[in-house]
Amino acid sequence: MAGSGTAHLRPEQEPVLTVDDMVVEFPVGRGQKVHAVSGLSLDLLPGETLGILGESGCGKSTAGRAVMQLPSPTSGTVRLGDRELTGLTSRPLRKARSRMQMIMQDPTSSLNPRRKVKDLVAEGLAIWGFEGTRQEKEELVRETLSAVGLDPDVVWERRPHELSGGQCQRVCIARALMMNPEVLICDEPVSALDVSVQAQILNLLERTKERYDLSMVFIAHDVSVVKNISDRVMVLYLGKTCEVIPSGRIESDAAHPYTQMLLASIPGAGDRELSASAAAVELPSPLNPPSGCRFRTRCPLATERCAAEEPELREVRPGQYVACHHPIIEE
Amino acid sequence: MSDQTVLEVEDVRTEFQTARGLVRAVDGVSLSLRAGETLGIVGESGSGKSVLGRTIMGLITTGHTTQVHGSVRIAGKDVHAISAKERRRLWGSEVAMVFQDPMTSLNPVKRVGAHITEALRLHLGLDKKAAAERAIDLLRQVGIPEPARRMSQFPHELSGGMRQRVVIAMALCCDPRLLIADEPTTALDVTVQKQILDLLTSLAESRDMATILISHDLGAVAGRTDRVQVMYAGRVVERSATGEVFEGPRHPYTEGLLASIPRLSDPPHTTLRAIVGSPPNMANPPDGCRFAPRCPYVQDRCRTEQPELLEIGVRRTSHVAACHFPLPDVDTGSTGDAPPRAALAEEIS
Repeated sequence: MAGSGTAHLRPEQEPVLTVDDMVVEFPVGRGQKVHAVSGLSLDLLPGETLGILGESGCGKSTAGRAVMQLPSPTSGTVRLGDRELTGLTSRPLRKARSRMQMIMQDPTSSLNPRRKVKDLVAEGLAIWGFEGTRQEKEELVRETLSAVGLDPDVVWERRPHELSGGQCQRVCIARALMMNPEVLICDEPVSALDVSVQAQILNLLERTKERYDLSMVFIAHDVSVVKNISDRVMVLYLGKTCEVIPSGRIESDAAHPYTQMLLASIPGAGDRELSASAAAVELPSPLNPPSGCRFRTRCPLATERCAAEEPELREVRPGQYVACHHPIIEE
Repeated sequence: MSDQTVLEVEDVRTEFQTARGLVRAVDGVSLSLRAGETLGIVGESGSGKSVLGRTIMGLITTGHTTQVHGSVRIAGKDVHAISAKERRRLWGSEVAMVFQDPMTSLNPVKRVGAHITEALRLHLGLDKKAAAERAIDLLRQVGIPEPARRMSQFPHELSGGMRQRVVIAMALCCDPRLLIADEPTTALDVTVQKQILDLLTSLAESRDMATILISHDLGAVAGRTDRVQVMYAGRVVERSATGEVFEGPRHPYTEGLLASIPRLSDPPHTTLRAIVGSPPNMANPPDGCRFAPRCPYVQDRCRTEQPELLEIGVRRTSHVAACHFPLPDVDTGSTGDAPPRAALAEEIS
């Protein structure tokens, strides 16, 4: 199996979302393929937030989109509850997918500039056929807008260009909530926002998750942000899983050299065992990823074994899984 | 660090005439910088930090829809009083700038080497061969492996981090006394950001160059600048030694900004202390203190009377803040109007 293992999955706890050995490849001509995601497995328990962390090009956004079947993965399965999404034809897929909503990075480009906030938020209901009167529908839209911290009377008739970036992101969250989803997939939802607004949106996502009983996949490149919002963090590198770790322990217990490198590259971070010098080597091409462990070309601990044999995810501490032949573990 | 003043900015106001009215993007900023000193300018988008950088550089000058008031003196020359030709002579040799996106700073149809040798030949009058040698040396200094081979490559053949290194080499080729780096790492990957910042810091140090580091990322500025200036809605709200600003902010906006960043040391699901509201519309800023509508400590006076940037420091280092009711100093509890003598004596001993 080309995957990085499935030791971290918890099928006995009835996850709301299970992704098994997902592969996403994009043909680029001349028989070459971009290996964006290679054998990713993950699961999401009810009420849990899974953070997906990695630098650009690691496949984290592609993974998020493939879970939404935008586009469908090349192989592997995505199950929402007990319903399998991969292989569904478009109509049943759309129906099933409405239980899963996505929030994108750039809030202004994900909203139609010509529509008013009231219509933008109600759009999902209009598509899926809301069984109720117009008044009930308006009531629901107002309630949702208030829930995301917008005053319905103020923003009701406004268009996206009349709102700030933070307000637009609130509208996007309201849109997602209207469908009463079980799973919310957030792809870098705060990285386009200012620092002071970023905190507002992070707090809002946390509150919303409680109030609407959501499970969340939170994709970002910022370690501190991911740690703040997640219960469990998954670190990706070139389409493979490096480490799965409870977020509270990421700073102290991270065992994969790549996770350590990410921690070391936070500005102002103290010197870690692995200096950021490993980062100087560039990300290998996803067209032709390194054999064995994909991180070995940048890894200061790499040996011959890393080139020959691909590491599988294994449990190194309770709840912590690492795909590395030489994990950094102090006993 | 020498005492030579490289940059003097006095009461600079940069105004743009827009469809929505007059926007004062920079509203009365004064600062000075000595050789070898590093100043961090932080603020959110719309705070005027980039416009200030460009005004200092002389990239924004008075024109049809733009007005620049006040003076900017680099090495004694007023950037806004000299002719465009003289200004061009200043760029590169006295002051240079590094921008956010390296791809737009480089010419896609010119080779890496040509970018650097152009300035060397123009400003320093080097011949082709000497310029090429110097360029290779510069590329080596900014940490580019195999500099001789890179010289003949095009920008698209390099990664983002390498491109930014080339831009830095371009900026440094004529030994400027002042380097303005405007969000130099924002477009780069997390793992590359720290390398580029470290490179800038070490180059500035070895060349005794004054540096302005403009960033929205407080983490990028902490630890690698001597002083920090916090800007909000076109004005300076606080400026002091970097450590003082980060450990004991005196302006409520600085405090809020620091509190709203998630910290790695906090446990997961810590509720962040976000600043309520959003930055003001610059075409119609609030009266009085511009932070007043979002300030948790706001008083009546703040809404009507604009606070001046005053010295409130209780230590020997200067600490200025523009607030009617600055937060107490972390150690002494003083608000600065009358520094307690005991605290001062302690500090000096």
